[in-house]
Amino acid sequence: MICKKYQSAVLDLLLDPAAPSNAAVRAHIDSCEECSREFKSMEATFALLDVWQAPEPSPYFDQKLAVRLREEQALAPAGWFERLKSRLQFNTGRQFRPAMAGALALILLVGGGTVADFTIPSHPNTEASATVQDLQILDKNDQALQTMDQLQDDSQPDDAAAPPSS
Amino acid sequence: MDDMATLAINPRLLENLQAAETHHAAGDFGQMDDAAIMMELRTGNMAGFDFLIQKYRKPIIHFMYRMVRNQAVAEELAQEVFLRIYRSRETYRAEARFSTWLYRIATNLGVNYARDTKHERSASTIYLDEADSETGTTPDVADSTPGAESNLLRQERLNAIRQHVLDLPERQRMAVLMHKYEGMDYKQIGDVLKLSESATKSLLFRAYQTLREKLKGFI
Ligand SMILES: [Zn+2]
Repeated sequence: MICKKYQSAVLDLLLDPAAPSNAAVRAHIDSCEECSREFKSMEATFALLDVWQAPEPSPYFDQKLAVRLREEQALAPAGWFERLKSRLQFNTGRQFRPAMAGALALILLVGGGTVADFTIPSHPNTEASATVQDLQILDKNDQALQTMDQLQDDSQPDDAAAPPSS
Repeated sequence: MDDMATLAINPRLLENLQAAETHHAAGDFGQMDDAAIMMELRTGNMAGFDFLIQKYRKPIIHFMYRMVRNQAVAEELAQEVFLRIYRSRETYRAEARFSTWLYRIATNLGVNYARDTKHERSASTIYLDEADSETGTTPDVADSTPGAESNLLRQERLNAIRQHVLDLPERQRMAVLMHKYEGMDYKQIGDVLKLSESATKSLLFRAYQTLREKLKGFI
C-alpha cells in the first residue's frame, strides 16, 4: 500500500516534476518501492490519456459564430451606450450587409441544410430568425450557473470532503 | 465582388463589421487581461470580444468535444457558450476570472446536453469499435506504424479511454477533462465546480485511480 501521506502528492509531482515544493515527494518516491510503483503506474495512465485527441475546429466555426453574434447584436443592443452607437453606426452597418450575405451564402453552400433557416435581418429591429428564437428559449445565463450546484457525483465521500466554497 | 469574397472568408469578420470605432488595435488586446477586455465589450467594443473568441474557441471546442464526442454538436455548443457570454456582457463582474466563468458556462451546457442525450449515446457506443463515425476523422489512427492489427488495437485503446472517462461520475469527469486536457490547476477547476481546492484534488485523485484500474490492460 502506498504511504498515505504521499498519496495525493503523486498528482502534484506528475503535473510539475520540477517544482521545488515537490522535492520532498520526489525524494520519498525515489526511496520507497511501493510509492515508486504507484507513481509510475499513475504516470503511465496519464500518458495513455494523451491518446485521445480532439479534432481541429472546422473552418466555418468563425463565420457561423459571426452570423449568430450579428443577429444577436441586431436583436437587442443591451445598454444605452450600445443603443446610441448602433444608431450612429446604422449606415455603416448597411454597407457591410452584402458581405454578410456573401458569408451566409458560403455557409449555406458548405454547411448544407444545417443552417438553412437563417434569415438576413434587413433592419436592426426586424423580427428574429428562427435560430435566435431557439436560442432565446434556452435558459438565461444565471439559471445556467445555478444548475452547477446540481452537478452529480455518485461517490459519497465527495460531499463529505468538500466544504462548500463560495 | 472580389472584395466581398475576401471579406466573407476573412475569419476576423467581427473586426471588419465593427471596425468603425474600436478603442484598441487588435494587437493591444494581448497585453490586456480578459476581464479588462470584457469591460470594453460592455461599451460595445466587439474587436475585443473577437480577440477573446480567437483565444478560447479551440480549448472550448475541444472541451465540448470530449464531453459530447461529436464535432458538429461540440461546435454548436461552443458557439452557444460565446453567445451567452455576449448576452451576459452587462452583468459580468471583473472579480470573477473570465476563464472560470467561461468554463462554468461550458460545463453546464455540456452536462445538460449529456444528460438529455444519455439514452442515445449509450446506444451509439456499440458502434464505437468502428472508425470514428462521430467525427468522420480518426485522429489517433493517423500516426506511426501501418498494419491492420495495430490500428485495431489503437482504436480499441481509444474507445476504452473515451468510454471509461465517460463512465466516471459527472464531477470527476468534468474535473479530469479540465485537468488533463485543458491544463487547468486545482484552484481554477475548484472555482468552476464550486469545490474547495483540496476537494478538487481528492476528486481528481479518485478519478485517475479509477482510470488506472480500468485502463490497466492498455498500459
Ligand atoms: Zn512510500
